Amino acid sequence: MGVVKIQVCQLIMKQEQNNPGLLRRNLLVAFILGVILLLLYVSVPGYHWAITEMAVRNKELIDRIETRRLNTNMPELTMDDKRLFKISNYWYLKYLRENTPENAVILLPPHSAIDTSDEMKFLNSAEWVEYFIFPRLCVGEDDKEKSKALYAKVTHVAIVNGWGYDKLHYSPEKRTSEIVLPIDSLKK
Amino acid sequence: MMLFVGILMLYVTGASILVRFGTRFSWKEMISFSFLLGIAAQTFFMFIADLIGFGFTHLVLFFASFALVIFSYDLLYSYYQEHRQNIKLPAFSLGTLNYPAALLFLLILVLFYIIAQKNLYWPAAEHDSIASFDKLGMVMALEGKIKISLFQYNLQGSGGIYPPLFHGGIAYMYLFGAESPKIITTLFYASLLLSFYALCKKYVSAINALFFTLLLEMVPEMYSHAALLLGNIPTTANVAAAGITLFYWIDKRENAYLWLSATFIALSLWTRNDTVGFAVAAVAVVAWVLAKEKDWKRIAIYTAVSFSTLILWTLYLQLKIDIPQSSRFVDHFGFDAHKMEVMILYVLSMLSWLQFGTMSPGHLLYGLAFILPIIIILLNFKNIRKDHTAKLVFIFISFVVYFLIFFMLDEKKQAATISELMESSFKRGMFCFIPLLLFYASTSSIANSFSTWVENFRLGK
Repeated sequence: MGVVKIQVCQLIMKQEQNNPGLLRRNLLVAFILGVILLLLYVSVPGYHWAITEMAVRNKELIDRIETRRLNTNMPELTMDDKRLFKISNYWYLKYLRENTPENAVILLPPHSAIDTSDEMKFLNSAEWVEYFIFPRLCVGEDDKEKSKALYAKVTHVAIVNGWGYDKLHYSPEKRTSEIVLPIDSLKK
Repeated sequence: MMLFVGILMLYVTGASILVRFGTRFSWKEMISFSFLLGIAAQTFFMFIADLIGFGFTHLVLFFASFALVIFSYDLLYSYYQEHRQNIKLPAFSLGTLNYPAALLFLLILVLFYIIAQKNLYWPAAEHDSIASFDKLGMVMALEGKIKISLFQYNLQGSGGIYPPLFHGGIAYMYLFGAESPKIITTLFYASLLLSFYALCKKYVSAINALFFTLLLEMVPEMYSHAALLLGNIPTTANVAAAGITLFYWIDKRENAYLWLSATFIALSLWTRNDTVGFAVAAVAVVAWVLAKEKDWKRIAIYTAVSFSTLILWTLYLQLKIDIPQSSRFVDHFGFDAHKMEVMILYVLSMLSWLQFGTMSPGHLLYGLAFILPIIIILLNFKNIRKDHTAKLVFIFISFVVYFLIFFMLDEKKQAATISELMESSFKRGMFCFIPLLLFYASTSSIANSFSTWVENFRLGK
């Protein structure tokens, strides 16, 4: 280790002899540049936000999740696990997918039936829900005039916030606030 | 492993197209442009397969790319022979190391790593990618066609009318086994930064080029987009490549860059058709420069290549998908003074530190990405002719057309007010101007003189 250190020092001294002051000037420019960058970070709020929030905080969050996972001997997180973390209503979208046949056409609640919480966000949007349930299809109650053909083919109703029981052609014994049910009786 | 092969194939395919333009490109240009050309080539293969009714799979795309590589094999080999001596790590010596450049390079690398990690870790969760782009890509990969079954039920989302480069790229990632296609954003972002640096470096010192590359990387709103699956970074990468290669051609008159610029303009229009302003501006500038030489043939070819994808996609939309693009615009054009005033105030806010509406002001959204180039342009006023006014004209015309497109959008058909449009789509579309302005600022006489002075001081000259 000591030999390497001496060799490095000798090399720097040799360079200094070839171009005196190069290292000093180089370090000075780097120092001034560092100060300018630091000033930009401190004085321009956009840069401060990008570095503190976008870069550092996000890295910390990922590191925290991964450390906890390793400490509890959990397997690597799947995309499904991460979606549950990121998308508040993913549990329901996953439930829709797992509890309907692939050829199902699902009726979604209207905008008026869902509240403004994150858990309900976009559950009325057929464009949003379709991503999670493909190849099943879906149509929103709000789009019944626009998508008449698809609306006529509805096989299942997504019950959300207790909405949708009146769309069923039968009366179920038990009523839960979130479920997916076939539009016609299960016995059919 | 399959995804790795797929990504590698993108670069090799792109390289085999790039060498057809010339073999004088540096290896940095080769890497950055190859990805942009490679992914575009794949979406063209998808488009052709869709037109002839032949379902595309990863094997179809692989062999089509392979044929392209074989076709350009001799040129690829001669490129390798010509440039292999340049593909080496620089000599490392603590005494002579360019410390400022090393500091900038390290910062760029660390920031890139962090945002790439964030991008690759989380799945797509943004409304536009879920409701449109990612969904389109996923179903395209499953069904092997561009006009997917969801169009039948109007479930394609707002991106359905967009040309297929971005969601086609997503489909490509899925076809090659990606669990999440978000790596595409990281690859576009890397291409944007590397192509910017590679061309800047041809004019200015490493410190200057790296400093402006860092400014480009650090644009706050754009940096956050580097972890999202949205079309803005890919559009910016293509527009930046188109604009910067055009600037290089204006300065150096190397033909390869003229045709490369036309190709990237076409690819910008293959990503989003609201980039038509850049095509109009590029054609106007090329016509202005070449008309003095009465070179009508090159003007005609440039125009035809630039607009080819717009025409192709418009025809496809009208004849096959049956959605006209004009359906987003006002039916009767009349001057709306209030709308114009609102838009101008938003633009002023974006270019400065002033607040308007509920949108964050420009220095929060874009940092110094607009403010600094504007200051440099003002300081550089006496050199404006020497630095080729055509470059500024290009930026100005493209901005005017971009502004007019939004001015003509019908708020009812868009189901959004002009304020909402300005605070979302317009704000993100402004990304495209940032690399162009930063490039102009970085290579301007005044910035160049300053960086030369710094370099001379650093080296003791």
